[in-house]
Amino acid sequence: MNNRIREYRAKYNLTQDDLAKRVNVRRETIVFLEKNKYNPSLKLAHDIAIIFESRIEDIFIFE
Amino acid sequence: MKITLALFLLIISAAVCNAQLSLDVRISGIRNQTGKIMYQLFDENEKVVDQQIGEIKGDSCLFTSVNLKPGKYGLRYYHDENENMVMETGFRGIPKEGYGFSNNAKGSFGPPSFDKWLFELGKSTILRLRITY
Repeated sequence: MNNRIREYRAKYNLTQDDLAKRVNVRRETIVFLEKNKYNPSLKLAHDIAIIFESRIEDIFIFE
Repeated sequence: MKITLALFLLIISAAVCNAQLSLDVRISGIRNQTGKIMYQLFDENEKVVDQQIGEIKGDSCLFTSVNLKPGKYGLRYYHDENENMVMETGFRGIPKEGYGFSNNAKGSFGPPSFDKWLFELGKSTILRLRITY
C-alpha cells in the first residue's frame, strides 16, 4: 500500500509532529507510515483523511 | 532530596497543565455548498474561546482549534446559507438553516441546555458531527 501523506502534509503546511499531535499518535508512527512500513488502523486512516479534508482512498492507495 | 523531588513534580504538573491540545471538528451532512458554516467554541464558563467561518467542501466542513488547555468545552455551529451572519428562524423560532451542537445534542422546544453539549477534552481529538436541518 502506498500513500500520499507527505504530499498532503506539504499542501497543508504541516510537519510530521503537527500531524501526529492532531491525530494523537507518536511522530514515529507518521514516519513509518510515510515510508510505507506500517499499515494504519481504519480509524487512523479516517482521522488523517479528515485532517486533509479528503477521502481515505485519495490518500492511501491500495495496489 | 525532598526539594529536588518537589521541584520535579512542579515541573511535571506545569507541563501537564499547559498541554496544548488541538480540536478538529468535521461537520458532515451539509445539504449544499452555498454560504458558509459559522462555528463557535466555548469553555465551561460559556466564554467564547474560538470562532471561525468555514468553507464547505463537498458535504462537509473542517474546523481546527489549537492551543487549547485540557478541560470542558462546548461548540455550536450553523449553516449561514444566505451569508447574512444570522441564523434564520421561521415559525416559533424553528431554525430555517442547518445547525448543530457538540455531542450532536438536540433540544426539544428550544436549544439544548449548555451542559448537554459540554464535552471533556483531555487529549487532541477529532469530533465528527452531523448537521441538522
